[in-house]
Amino acid sequence: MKKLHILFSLKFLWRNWRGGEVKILAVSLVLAVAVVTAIAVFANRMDQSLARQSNSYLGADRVVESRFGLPVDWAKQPASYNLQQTQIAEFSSMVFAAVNSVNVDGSNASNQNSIEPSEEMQLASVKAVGAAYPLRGKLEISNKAFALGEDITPASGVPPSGEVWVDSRLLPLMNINLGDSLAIGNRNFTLSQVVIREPDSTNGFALLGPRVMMNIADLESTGVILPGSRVMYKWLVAGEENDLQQFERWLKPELGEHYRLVSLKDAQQNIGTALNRGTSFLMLAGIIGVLLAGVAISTASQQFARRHIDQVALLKSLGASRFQIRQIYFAQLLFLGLIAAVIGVALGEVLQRLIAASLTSLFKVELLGASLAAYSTGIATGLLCLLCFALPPLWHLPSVSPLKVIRRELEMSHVKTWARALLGAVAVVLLIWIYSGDYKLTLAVVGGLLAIVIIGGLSALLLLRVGYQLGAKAGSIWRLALSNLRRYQNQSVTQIMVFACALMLLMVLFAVRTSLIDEWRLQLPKDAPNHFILNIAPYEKQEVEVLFSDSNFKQSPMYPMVLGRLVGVNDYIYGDNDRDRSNALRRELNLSWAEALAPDNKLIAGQWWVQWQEKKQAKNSTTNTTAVGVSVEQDTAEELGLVLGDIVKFSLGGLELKAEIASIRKVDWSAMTPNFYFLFSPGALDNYSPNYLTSLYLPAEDKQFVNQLLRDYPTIVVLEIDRIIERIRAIVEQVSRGIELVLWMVLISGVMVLIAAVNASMASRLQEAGLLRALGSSRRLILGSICFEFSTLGFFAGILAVFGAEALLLGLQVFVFEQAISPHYMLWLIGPILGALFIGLLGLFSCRSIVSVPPSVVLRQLEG
Amino acid sequence: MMIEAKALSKQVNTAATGDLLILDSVDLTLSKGESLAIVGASGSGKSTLLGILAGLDIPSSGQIMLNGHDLTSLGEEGRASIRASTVGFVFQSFQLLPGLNALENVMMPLELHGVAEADIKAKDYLKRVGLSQRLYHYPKQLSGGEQQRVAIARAFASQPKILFADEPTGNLDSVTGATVIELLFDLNREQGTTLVLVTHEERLAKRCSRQIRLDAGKLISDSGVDGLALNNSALKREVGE
Repeated sequence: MKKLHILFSLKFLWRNWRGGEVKILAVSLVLAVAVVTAIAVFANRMDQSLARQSNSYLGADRVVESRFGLPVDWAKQPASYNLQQTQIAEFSSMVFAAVNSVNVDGSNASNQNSIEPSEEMQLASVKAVGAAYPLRGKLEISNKAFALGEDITPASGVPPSGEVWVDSRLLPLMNINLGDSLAIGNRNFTLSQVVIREPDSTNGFALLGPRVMMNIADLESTGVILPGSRVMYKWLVAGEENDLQQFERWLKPELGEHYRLVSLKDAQQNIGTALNRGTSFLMLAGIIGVLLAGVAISTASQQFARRHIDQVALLKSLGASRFQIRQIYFAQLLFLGLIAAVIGVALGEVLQRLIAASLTSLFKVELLGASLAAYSTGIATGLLCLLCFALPPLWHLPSVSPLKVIRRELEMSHVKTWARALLGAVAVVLLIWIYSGDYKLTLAVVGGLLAIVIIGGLSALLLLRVGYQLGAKAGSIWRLALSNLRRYQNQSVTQIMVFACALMLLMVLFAVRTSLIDEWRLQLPKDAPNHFILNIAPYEKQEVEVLFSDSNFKQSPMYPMVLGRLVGVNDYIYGDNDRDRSNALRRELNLSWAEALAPDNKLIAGQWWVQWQEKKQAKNSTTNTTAVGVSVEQDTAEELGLVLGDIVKFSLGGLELKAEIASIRKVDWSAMTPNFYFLFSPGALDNYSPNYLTSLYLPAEDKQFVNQLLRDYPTIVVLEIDRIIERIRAIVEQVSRGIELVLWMVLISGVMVLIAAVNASMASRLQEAGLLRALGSSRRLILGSICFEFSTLGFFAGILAVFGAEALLLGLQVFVFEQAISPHYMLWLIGPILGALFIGLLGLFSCRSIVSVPPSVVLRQLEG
Repeated sequence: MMIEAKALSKQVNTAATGDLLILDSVDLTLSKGESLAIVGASGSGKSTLLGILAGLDIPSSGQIMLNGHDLTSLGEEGRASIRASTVGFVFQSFQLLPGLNALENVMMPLELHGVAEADIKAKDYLKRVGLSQRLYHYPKQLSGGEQQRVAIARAFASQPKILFADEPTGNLDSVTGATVIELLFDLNREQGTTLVLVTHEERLAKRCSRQIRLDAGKLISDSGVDGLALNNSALKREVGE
């Protein structure tokens, strides 16, 4: 019997499809699944690829840092997880130029014994690398100092034993050339190449000495590493994500307090922000796409249910039981869901491939495959939509009385509206939760929707009444249109709400996309500083400033900077064991002072200098109020457990500086401007002979200026962040492009909702128009009235949608995207006009047949 | 007995008029193979009686036996099962499914009950009603008479023991109506079906072996029962007309 019903259901489904009964339902379902699949899969691929790309900033997929060497038995582990590994040791050391002495006969004496140490020496940042370095990203070298363009080549390995590769600026600093020898500790090396770029050297502020890269096999022979030496060991590991995760499960319990797993967030905060917002947007777009599809499904399903009441009554009169009817319709819905899910996933796959293809051709990025979970999200969405949006309107169908076959006027019981609304709301919350896992986003969207449903319902009623009264004084077309709306008041209110929801969601998406992309562009304008110039000596400051202004380069102010070490807080002195707690304890810090709070800094606790001083004075007029204050960056304060009022102690070149924590700041690391963990009150560092720091925008064609600067001022350090900016721009472009395409998909969902909603009321409108036509009304009157009727609905919906969109955008700006609050004036103009125009045309298009077909046929079709 | 109804009453509660008695203690028996016409003015309770006799609705009081089954003691599911095995319908508004063509409309009840070779049977019945050339036409492509013939084919195809027809010619002109009536009675005779129909049309009522008349929910005349008192005032008024 069951098999029979499945077969019967399938046949019924096919016949219903052919009769056009389930088309909108099916298309909405397919679209929901397709949008979600495309977004989930694409976002997943992008996430994985960007993570891999970003991992090049670590030089590996995972990095373990420690001041101690790697335990011997650990080194065996990666192989058992199919992972690659290598090691690095970083330390500062004096290097000595050992100029090759030239023999009398003019030949070079290149053996070690004939090298004479020169006077030239320099504190360098030495990096001893293993053979496989880097595991991710590329090391770029050249045989010319300060090389540009084609002179740069990717390294095919690491410095061979006995050779070192060095930073270009070391050459003018020590007055040496490639081919010369350089001594590190007891060992002499041949200087064979210039290091142009290292993938993992973004932590540039710590790297004050020029780079000297050597082979790790040579490290012991230098004799510079002694017990207690300040060395940072890094263990680099790379491989497939699954293997890495298993490896991590083994690793984490082993780490203890001296070994630290470095996350990508530590390495690249600025890219992380762009990426997070991009992903948040995609999530939002996905949610909105699904909500729109949900509304379309629900509307189409209600229409389906209405049209099937007679069918069910007939089936029941023919002896079908309530259970059979439930089976038949449930099976139809299930088949429909499964077929739609399969087609939706396939369509989603095609869409995401199209997006990916357009991206890869534009940006030459390699996108990794998506995980299976991303695909199952699509299918799960389809089924959830079916369960929560399509099933409730059909739920009452089995209870249709068979008596309805002879008494058409019989009322029938429906699933209560509040029950359906509750189920819909549960589905909405569930869907948003599944996608975003973000309660703020969930609250913002649900809040916006609730607002539009409650306030919107009441306002729609009011608008209809006002419209009706105005219409009474208007011409016949308007009068007819408005009295129609008034007559079908409940239906009109529902339609206004559905249109408003769809328009609101689309407006939100457009506005968020526009503001996100604008903000990214603003954040990284074309002339954003792309070079940091550090270590400018006080006597060089003026000259350098003149040089910059003569060259017409855009320059930020000079920040004083003193290197110092954080040694204690209150009565506590930091020891060796504390060094793993925070980056701020592992190295010398760049300390600065500032009069005013920088625009990309936000005070989250305490007061800025003037208020802080005043508060101190008010608290205790007898204490010394000239104490030094310091403002601490939020993450650093959290890592070290620092709170307002703590006294922190620094050692600055052997001198002690005490300061009271006056405030805690949140720093926007994504802004490419100089920022500091510790910022002192004005003048606090004047006695510690500061150097200066600034940032500069150098156009690509003026890149040789860096070489000029370094030749003239070899002690100056230049951090070239132009490549990082370039990379961020590429990622932002990539995310923006993905957003645009996803937006179009969501737009299609929106149009589906509008079509479903227009169709839902079509039968009664057609009947009425047919009757009017039969009574001799002109074509112009009927079409005009229909057009006005829908335009009015669209106009009212547009007004409500703007209110809802502004409410939702407010929530999103404050809680999710953390942007400044701003009204969207364009929406106020575009919303109602576009609503009226689009929905009016849609109504007109759907009803166009009634004036071309004889009224008798229209009326008879509706009867059948 | 095919139908045995005792003291059937139906009362409904409407917001406008309060309690309303639609059927008032109707007694009725009908033998197998008999044909019965229920006549009366609009609102006299004809369709309500038909609905109750067919098991589509339940009376407020009284008892109804259909082919030996006590419908009043059964729930909706039980009555559905009796309808499936015993009853066929023809409606005034044809009740064809617009998305299904003529053949599929006739096949539908057969498929629902798992009858083998439903399509062959359906084609046969459509041939009998003269629509073998219209198998794949959709309802909107058929005339009213043709649609009702499809409905008749659908009703007889599942070979019901009793056929209920609610104003089968109500939506048809007199010529087409006459053709449909012929068809209905021919098939009825052929299959030995018991027929209960509601009609306004005297011509159609007279074709039935028995006629009953309802007025304001009361059974006021029954051509098959001798000595039925004709003292009902409404009847007097009607006779007077």
